[in-house]
Amino acid sequence: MKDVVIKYFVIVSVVFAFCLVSSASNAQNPLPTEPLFEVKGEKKYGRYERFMDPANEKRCFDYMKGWELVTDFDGKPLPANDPYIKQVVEERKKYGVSARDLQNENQWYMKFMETTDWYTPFNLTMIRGDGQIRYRYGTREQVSNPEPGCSMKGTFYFYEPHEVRNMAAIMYTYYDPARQSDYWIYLPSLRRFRRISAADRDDSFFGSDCTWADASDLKVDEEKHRILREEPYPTKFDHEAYKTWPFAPVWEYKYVQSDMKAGTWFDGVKHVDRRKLPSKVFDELVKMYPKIKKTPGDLMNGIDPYYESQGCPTYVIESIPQWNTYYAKKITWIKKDPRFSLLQEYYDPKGRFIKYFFRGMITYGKNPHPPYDQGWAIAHWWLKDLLTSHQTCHVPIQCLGNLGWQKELFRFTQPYVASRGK
Amino acid sequence: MRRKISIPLLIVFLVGVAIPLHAIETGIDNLEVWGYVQNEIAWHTTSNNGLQNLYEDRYVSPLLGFHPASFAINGLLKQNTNKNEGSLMKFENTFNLKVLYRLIPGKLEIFGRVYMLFDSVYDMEDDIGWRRSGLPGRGAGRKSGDPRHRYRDDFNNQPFKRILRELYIDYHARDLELRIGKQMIVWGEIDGFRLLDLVNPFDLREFILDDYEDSRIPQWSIDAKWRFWPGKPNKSLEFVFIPDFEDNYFMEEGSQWEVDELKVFHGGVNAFNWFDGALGPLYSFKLKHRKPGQSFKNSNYGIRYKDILQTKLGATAYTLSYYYAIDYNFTPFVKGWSPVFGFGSTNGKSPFGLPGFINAPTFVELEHTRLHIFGFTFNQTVGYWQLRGEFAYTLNKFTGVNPLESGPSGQDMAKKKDTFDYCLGFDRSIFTDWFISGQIIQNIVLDADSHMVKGLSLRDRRAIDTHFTLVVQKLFHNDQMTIQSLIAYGTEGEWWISPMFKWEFTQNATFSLGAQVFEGNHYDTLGQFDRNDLIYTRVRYSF
Repeated sequence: MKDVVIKYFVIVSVVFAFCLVSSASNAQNPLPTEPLFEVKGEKKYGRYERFMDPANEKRCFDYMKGWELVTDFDGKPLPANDPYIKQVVEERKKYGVSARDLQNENQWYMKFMETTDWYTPFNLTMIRGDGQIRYRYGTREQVSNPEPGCSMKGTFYFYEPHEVRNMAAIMYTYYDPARQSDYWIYLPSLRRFRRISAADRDDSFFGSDCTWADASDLKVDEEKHRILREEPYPTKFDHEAYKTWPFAPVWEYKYVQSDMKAGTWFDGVKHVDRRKLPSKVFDELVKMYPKIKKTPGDLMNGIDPYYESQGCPTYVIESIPQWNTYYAKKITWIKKDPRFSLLQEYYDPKGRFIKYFFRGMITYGKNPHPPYDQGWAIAHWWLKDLLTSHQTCHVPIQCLGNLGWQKELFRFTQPYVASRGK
Repeated sequence: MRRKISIPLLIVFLVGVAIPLHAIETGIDNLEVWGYVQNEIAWHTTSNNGLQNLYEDRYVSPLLGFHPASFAINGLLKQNTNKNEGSLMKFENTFNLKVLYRLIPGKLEIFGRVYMLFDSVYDMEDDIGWRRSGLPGRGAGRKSGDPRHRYRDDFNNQPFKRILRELYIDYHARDLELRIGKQMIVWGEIDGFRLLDLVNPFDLREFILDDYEDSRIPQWSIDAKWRFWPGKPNKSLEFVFIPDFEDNYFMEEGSQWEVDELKVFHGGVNAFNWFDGALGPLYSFKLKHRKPGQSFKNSNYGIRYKDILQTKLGATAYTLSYYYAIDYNFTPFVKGWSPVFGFGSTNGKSPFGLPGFINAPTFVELEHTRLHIFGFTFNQTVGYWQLRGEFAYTLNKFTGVNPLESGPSGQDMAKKKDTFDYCLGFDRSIFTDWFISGQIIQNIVLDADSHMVKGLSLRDRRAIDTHFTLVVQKLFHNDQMTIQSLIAYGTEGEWWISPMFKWEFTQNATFSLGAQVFEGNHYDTLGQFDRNDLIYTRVRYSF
C-alpha cells in the first residue's frame, strides 16, 4: 500500500512539475504594449499604406506578429522589466517605431522579397586589393513560409568557376527563436552533403565578403538594436574606404530600358539580354577596375543610378550582436519608407571600422520609377572588408517570383539538389 | 634521371594554354563543356630499401623458426624500392573533361566525362625499382626491377572503358530522380574511411590518397530516387541496380603503394609456381580468380530510405539502407594442401597442429562472395557541433584465419563472420573560422575467431580495429588560401599525417603543396607505408 502511495505521489509530482515548467516556458513578455496603429482591432507596426499589394501587407504583418515576443539569444523570453524591453517601448513612443521593429521589417524585405517564392541567377564578383578579379556565378531559389514554423526553404547552386561548380547548399530557417537554422552543403568532389552549423554563420559566403548570416539568416533578437538618430541618407562619404565604391551616395537604381513590362517580379528582364544593355554603373566600374571586364558580362548591365532619390530620410540604428562574432557593433541606415537597409557599417571590438555593406535597390512594376506600383528588389550588394581591402559585388542578374513552388517543395530536398551535382 | 619530355605533359600544356578563362562557350544551346587539367609531382622524403624478410618464419613456423616457403616467398616478392631521398615519386598529369547536354532542360539531360591519367615518372626517374632476390637455388643476387609503363598510365594499360569514366542520362520528375548509365553512387557520411560508401569499387593503385572523385570506379547501373510520400518531399526511397561487376583495382605487384599483404600474396604465388615447376610431379600449384560473370544473377541491389526528422532540437537527417552486393575484394580460399611439402598428395588436408610449417597450398581460389550490408547514417546539429554517424552491419563477411591453428573449419583460411563497423564524428568551428573535424572509426568482427589473421602473412588480426581522425582547416585571404591537416591514428600504433596548403592564385588556377607522412609497422593499415613519405605539388587549371 505504501509503495502505491509513493508511486502515485511521484507521478502527480512529475505531472505538476511538468505543467509548471511548461507554463513558465510559455510566458509572454508584455510586448507589444503600444502598437503604432490599430486597424479593425488588429495591431500593426508600420506604415502599411505603402504596401500596394494587400497580400504583401498581410505577409509582413504575419511575419511581424511571429516575432512579437522579445527574446534573448537562446530564444528565452525577456522579462517585462528587462531594460531592452523598456527601450523598445520608449522608442515606439518617441519615434513611432522601435529599432527592433525596423530591423524586423528590414529582414522581412530581405528574406522574402515580397514574394511567396523567388528565383535569381546571380553574379558574385570579388575584387582583391591588388585589382585582381574572381567571380562566382550561381542561382538562388527560395520558397517562403513553406510549412508551419518554417520561414524559408532555399537553395544555392554554383555553376562557375570549375572549382565550385555544382557546389550547392540547402537552407531551412524557422520562426522559433530558440531553433537554429539547418544548413547542408553539397560537395560535388565528395558527392555528399555536409551539415554545417548555423553557429558558423560568420564563415565567408563562398569566398566573398558576405557571411552566411549576411546572405540569408539572422534573427531579430540575435542582436540588440537601438535608434541612434534620424537623418537623410548621406550624399557624401568622407571616409577613405568609400572611395573604392563610386556610387556610395546612390541607393536607388533604375532600368536602362524603361519600358520593361511588369510581371511577377521584374519579369521584364527575363526577355531582355542585359549583357547587351548599356550601364553607367558598369562603365564606371570598368574605369576603376579594368579587369572586371573579364567577368561574365551580366555584371551591373542594364541598370543606371537613379540620382533623384538621394538623401532620402533614414533611421540610423545601432545593433549589438548577442553572440560571439567578428563584429562588436553594426550601424545601419534604414530607409523610412519603405523600411529596408541601405548601408551597414561594421565595427570590431576595438572600435575599428572593418566592413561596409551597401544594398542598391530597384523598383519594378508597370511603371518602374516612382511612384512605383508593385515593389522593390535588390539591384546589387557592394561590400568591402577594410582590413584586407577585398571587395564583393553581388548582382542578381534576373529575378522571378511567385512561381508556385509552394507545391514543388521537392526542389529543396537533398535528392533533388544532389542529382544536379555532376 | 632521364630528361625525356613527356608527350602527355605537352598535351596538358597545350590544352591549358588553349582553353579560355570561363567554361567553354560552345555556341550550342543547352550544351556545356568544362573540366580541368592537372599536374601533380611528388618526391620521396625517405629512402626505401625494402625489408629483408617481409614474410617472417616465426608466423609460419613458430616452433622451428624456419620455413623453406618463407625463403622462397621473400626471395620472389617484389618490394618497391627507392635508393635516395628526394627522388621523384610521381609526375602525373590528369585530363578531365565533362560534357552536359540538356535535351529537355530541367527534365532530361545527358552527361559524360572523360578522365585520363598518365604518370610519367618511369620515363624520368631511374631510382624507382623493386627489391627482388634471386630465385632459390639459382644463386642470383638482388636485382633492380623496371616497373615502367605498368602503373597509373592510361595510355599504356588502361582499357578505354575506364577512360570514358561516366556516361549517363538523367530524368527529373516531380516524384522521381532517375539516372541510368555509367555512374558513381555515393552513400555514407564519413571522411577518409569507407563503411557504407561501398556501392562502387575503388581504384586503390595509390592506396587511399586519390580524391574520391578519381578513385571511385563508376559502373553501368540504374539509380532511382523516389519521393514516395506526397506532401513529404524529404522522404525518399532510393533503388540501386548494378549489373556491371568490376572488382577493386588493386595496386600492381611491385608498385609503390602495394600493401604488404598483397606483396606476400604475390610473393607466395610466385614461389609456389616456382616450386611447381622445380618439383615436377611431386607438387603442383594452381591459382584461380573466379570473377562473377556479367549476369542478372550476379548483380548488386540496394535500397535506401532517406528522411529528415523535424524535432524541437532541430532537423535530423538520416538514412536506412540495405545493400546486397558481391564483395569487390576477393577472398583467397585454400582449396588444397600438400601435407608434406613436396612429398605427398597435393589434395590432402593440412595436418594442423603438427609440424605445420611443412604444409604448402596446392590450389588457391580467389572468390568474390555475397554480402548483406545493413546501414544507418545520421547527422544532427547540436549548438556549435555537427554530429554525424555511420553504422554498417555486414552479414557473411569472410575473415582470414590461421589454418595451422584454427582446426578443420579453418583449412581454407577463411571463416564467415558478421562484422559491425561504425564511425561517429563531429565538425565544428573554433576561434571563429578554424574548422575541426574528428572521427572515431571501429571495425568489429563479431564472434571473432581466436586465430584470426590479417591475410597470408598469418599476422594476428584484432577483433576490434580502431582509428581516430582529426582534420583541421583554415581558409583565409577570402577563401583563396587554405591550410589543412589530416591526422589519423590507429591503435596498433600507426599514424598518418597529411598537411596541405592550397592557393587559388587566379580565378581558374590553384596550386597545392602538401605532404603525406606515415608512421608505423609493416602490415598495419597505415603504418606499412612508413617508407613512402612524400611531399607533393599540384597545379590545376580548370575551364
